[in-house]
Amino acid sequence: MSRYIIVIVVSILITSSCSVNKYVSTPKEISTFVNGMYFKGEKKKGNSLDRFFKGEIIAVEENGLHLLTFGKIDTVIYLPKNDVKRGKISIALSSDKPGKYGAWGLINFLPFAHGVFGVFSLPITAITTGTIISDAARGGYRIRYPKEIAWEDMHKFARFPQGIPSNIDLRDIKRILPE
Amino acid sequence: MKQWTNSRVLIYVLLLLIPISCGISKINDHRKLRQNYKNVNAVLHAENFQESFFKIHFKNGDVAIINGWNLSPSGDSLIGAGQLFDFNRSRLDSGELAFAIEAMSILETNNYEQIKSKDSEKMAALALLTGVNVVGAVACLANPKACFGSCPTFYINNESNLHETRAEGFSNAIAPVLENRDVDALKYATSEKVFRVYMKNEAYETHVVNQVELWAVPRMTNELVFVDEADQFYITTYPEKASTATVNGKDVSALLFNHDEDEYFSLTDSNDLTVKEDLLLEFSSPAQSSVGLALSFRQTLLTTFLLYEGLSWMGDEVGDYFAKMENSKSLRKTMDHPFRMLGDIECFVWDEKKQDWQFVQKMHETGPLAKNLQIIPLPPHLIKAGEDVKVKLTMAKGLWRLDFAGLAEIKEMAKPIKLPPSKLVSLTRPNTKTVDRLVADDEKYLVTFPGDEYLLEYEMPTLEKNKEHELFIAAKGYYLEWMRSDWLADKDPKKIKRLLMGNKATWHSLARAYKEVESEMEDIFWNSKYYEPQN
Repeated sequence: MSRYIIVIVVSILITSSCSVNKYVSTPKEISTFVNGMYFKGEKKKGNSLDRFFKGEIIAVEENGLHLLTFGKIDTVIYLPKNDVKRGKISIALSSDKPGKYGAWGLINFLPFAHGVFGVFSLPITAITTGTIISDAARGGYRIRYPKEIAWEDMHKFARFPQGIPSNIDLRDIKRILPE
Repeated sequence: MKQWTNSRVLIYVLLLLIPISCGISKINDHRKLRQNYKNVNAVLHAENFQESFFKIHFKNGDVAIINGWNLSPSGDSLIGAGQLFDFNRSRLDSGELAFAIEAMSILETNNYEQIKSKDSEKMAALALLTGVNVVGAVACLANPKACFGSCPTFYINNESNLHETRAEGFSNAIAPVLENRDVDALKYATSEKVFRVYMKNEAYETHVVNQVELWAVPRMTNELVFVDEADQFYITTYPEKASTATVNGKDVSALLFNHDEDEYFSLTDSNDLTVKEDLLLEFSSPAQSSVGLALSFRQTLLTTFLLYEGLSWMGDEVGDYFAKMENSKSLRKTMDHPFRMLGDIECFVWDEKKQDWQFVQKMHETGPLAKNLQIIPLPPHLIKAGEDVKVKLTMAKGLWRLDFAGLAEIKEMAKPIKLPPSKLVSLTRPNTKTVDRLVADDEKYLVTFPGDEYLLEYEMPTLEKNKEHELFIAAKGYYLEWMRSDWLADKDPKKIKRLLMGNKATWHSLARAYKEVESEMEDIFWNSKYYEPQN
């Protein structure tokens, strides 16, 4: 019975891990990546609903940054520098083929692959494979703010490192995913 | 038992995988990952890491990725194979593309190890440009930080002698954000219907020129016109020489009598570059109380030395510093701090009533090339007609070279006639650039590279009888120093911070370092081989 519970938990884990962060480039394509980097972080204040933020860095100014958040309608929000507690800038995924890991993971979790030792190996396999898949699909190369980068240096990871061009209306900014 | 052993091995192997899988994503130094540069010449120092591609961020929000690049024959565009995207990153174009340099905002290079190019041929064009860095005079190689540097220089008769430079444009605008207008006296008057001036780029710099107006003030032939620090114009008599001029009791008046090659200057303090000195001037009783101190001056090479030293300490991060400066007022203020520490020429006039010096105004103009001729109107309530006038100039030792000081009687204030150029002729490249780039303060720029020379022509307004136009050049723009290869070895981020923050020990060591080259720096500077067009 416990084995079935583990399989269900692992399946959920795999499913969630397989969801590739489509806003972060693969290493292979990083050289032609023309968007701002993905920034995910936590504010100093706020409730569980609005304490966390994530999106594409559009421009970083001296006292705050413009972040393109994704939803039914992409929206640029402004985050004052003083409100940002910490965050991670995703530079690239660690895999060129992040979607392929899911299949390998599922094979790992098939009951016959573990036999009677499943009681030991399955949980560890779940953690390991889940971590790898998650890392390939959603993690990868990151820079942590403020530990590894100063605010003044973050502009170079924005879509507009020069600041928001005067001719552009923030409401017109969208994220167009690669073809 | 065997089964248990096998399972333990499996568990250990799996446990081992966890840290392996989690430990691959650390980025040690983001500065090595991505660099931003403010202009084409700023990527020159990228010779160290030879990326095969880079991105160009345009002022309108577009971005291009290009592989390999070259300058167009006219020098105002980059040509390369790549892709162009709009501000939402939809592809607009691809293939062989050309981009106007004046439309560019930031150039970005990336140094991702996994995509690091080994094809040095792709950077052939860049290497070609950097090649000029290794061309230099023997003197320059011996002391690279004394190498010639200048802003746009203006000549009247297309002289080749640098000492004949009439004006230096926007000398302190070393970054796009610092773009400004600089008004300089050409020390020339004309009654001709057409006036021609030559603008040159004679250093390892990119000059981005927005506007070059000729400001003309009509005056009688026996009058002069001076401009002050606030760009106010005054019609005056010919200035009277100082009756006495002393520094620490030493008579220096003969050096300040005429506009010639004899200049008063002192040497810096060996331990402190901010130590000041006083020049005391006395003028025989003027006929009226409305007078001004006319001063012809330029800087020594101290600021050039500090600028080059600072750039070399920035090393291959110079692009980052300048990119940050674009977005950060506080950094701009910090970058200006060393120059504020050195200070201006402060003018005081003696107040007989209070028996004390009264501060009047400051005077400042960056640049060691052209002499600036300006006026400081003295407060009439402190001047009495028929009584001698005492003036004190306080300035950092070794920072200024004074050629002339005189007291002129101010007849009236004047407004200049602002004339746009009517003709632009390239003397060194095919004539592809139209004069409209320099006519207005707008988004159109003329980008010039080392060796470029242009003739600017102005149509002069008609004059009344016995009058001529006193001429001033009003140039607006900015320039970017090219990093010299020799400087990269001096990279020291700690030192640049200390320099900017005014750290005493760093400034002391700078004073010592400058002292070692101070006496020879002028000679090396003026004799160093700057860029000349190769035909």
